[in-house]
Amino acid sequence: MSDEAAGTRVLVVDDHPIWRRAVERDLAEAGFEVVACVADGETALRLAPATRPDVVLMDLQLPGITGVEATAELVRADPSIRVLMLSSSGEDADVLAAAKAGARGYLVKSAAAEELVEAVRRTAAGEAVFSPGLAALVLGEFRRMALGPSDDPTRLTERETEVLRLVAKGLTARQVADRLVLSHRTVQNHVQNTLRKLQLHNKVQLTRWAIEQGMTE
Amino acid sequence: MPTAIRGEAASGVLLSLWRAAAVFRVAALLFCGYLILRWRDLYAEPAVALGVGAAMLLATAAMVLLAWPGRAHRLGFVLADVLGCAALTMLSRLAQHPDQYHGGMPTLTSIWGAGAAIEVGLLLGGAAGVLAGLLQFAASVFVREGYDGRTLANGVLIVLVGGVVGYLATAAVRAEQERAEAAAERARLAERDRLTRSIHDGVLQVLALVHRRGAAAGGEWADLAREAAASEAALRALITSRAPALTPSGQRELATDLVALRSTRVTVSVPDVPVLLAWPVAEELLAAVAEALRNVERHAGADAMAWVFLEDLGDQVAVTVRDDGTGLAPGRLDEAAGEGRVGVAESIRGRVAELGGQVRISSVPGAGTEVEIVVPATASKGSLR
Repeated sequence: MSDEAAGTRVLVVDDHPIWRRAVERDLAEAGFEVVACVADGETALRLAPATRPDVVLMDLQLPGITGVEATAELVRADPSIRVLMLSSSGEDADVLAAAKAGARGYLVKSAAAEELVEAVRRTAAGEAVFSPGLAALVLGEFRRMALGPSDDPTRLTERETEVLRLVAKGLTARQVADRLVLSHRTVQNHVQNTLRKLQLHNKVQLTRWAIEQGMTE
Repeated sequence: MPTAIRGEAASGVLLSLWRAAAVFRVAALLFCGYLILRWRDLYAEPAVALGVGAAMLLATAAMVLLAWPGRAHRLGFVLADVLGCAALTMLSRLAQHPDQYHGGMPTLTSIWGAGAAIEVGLLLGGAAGVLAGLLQFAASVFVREGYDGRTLANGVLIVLVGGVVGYLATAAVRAEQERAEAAAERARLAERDRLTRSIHDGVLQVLALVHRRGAAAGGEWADLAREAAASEAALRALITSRAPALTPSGQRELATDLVALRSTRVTVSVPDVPVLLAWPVAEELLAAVAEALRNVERHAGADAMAWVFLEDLGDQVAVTVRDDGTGLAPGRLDEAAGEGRVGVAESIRGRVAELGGQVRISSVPGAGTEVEIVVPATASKGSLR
């Protein structure tokens, strides 16, 4: 694992000092390069261009600008940046907002240290880290959006819906693959696609809104 | 009626109204007193007229002294004032010559009499105020042995004043109560917010940390870690706040109720939009979910985790309860039912069938059990008795 972790640059954003130190230590022990540990979104935005993190570990509840706003701004400035959301209570609306804003995954803070390290590793590798809660939120959001036109390219395929449902029921990616007789890689692609479509839909919505308001480009 | 509790000192908007009534009483007394003094030599019985004036002065003084600190708002005082007022009005007949009381000279109490109707309105509301006004009108009709246009106009005014003041007092007191309730609700929410934030920023983070560190340390620390994890989950479930959905009457929002089931063993995943069901349907569905979770606790093994997943399918609502426990051998569900044990089969299937829904139970020995409950979203009236 250390080999994969080596060279992966991580920025930790969390306002709780003890937590920040603990996470930094866990990540450093696992071989990640923690480029900075900051307490708020403003500092994260200021340091991101210079520290060039691959993964940003973002607490959603921050003083000053929120984790959602910081995520949106980081992704806007650098679309390749991978934000892994963390929150210690299930603020459903915030998690969904951050996912739409471009976060690549979500983990509850109560996750064990190994789970956190594994989630950062997977995020760095480009995989989407989903919790059952995030899967249910995303499914609910697509159901809400499905009220629109049916030729929308941002709709979920049946397979994607099926995969998300199993994730929401608590199955791991490996278990989903076994259940549907798919490769792990394929399941990962489906999960990533749902997040990508969610973000795309969000952009389309914003653009449509901008056109309606007469504010294009 | 302006206040529910009689005998208590008036306060707030009601107190202001009573003080206004007292000011009116004093102004009316000055007017009536001026007339009595000015015409004292014209009366048939000046002594009676001056006596009535003195009584009005005493009654007004008593009213002001009681009303100012809010103590006039009681049935005994108001009743005495109304009757006394009518009696003093009727004494005009003794004080005045017949051609005076027949000829349009105001009664001794004239406008002052409206004060009693106002008091009744304040105490008992608009309808009672109208009645008190009518009594005062009847007293002047008695004095004049009939009524001319002027008596009628005065009477109508007094009746209207009693009714309107009563109505306004009731409305004002209600508005004041609603405002107070809204302020209390705001304060409650703000306090909850504050608590949530401080729990969130402090205790929750430390507990999560103890959980993580303790689990890694092993031994006694691992026990402590488990305790911390349980406390963390309980606290988190307590403070997790979904924005209170505007629930149409007769409906219940399922997600909020399901989220309350979260614990270290139970993961609950719900959409971010409210999922509404008719109240009795939601009630049965929640009972079925609770039954399924109890079943996990009893039969799935000590380390089993459970996942509850709520999905709104448009015309249907689906709730899945999955565990990763020991699972059931094929046929065990039917066995349980056959032995007459009220278990999964009886309880859950029975509840859901009544809602016109379906239950799918699948289980693999060693790989847990999945109970999927689907009810029609329109299962509101018809299907339930």
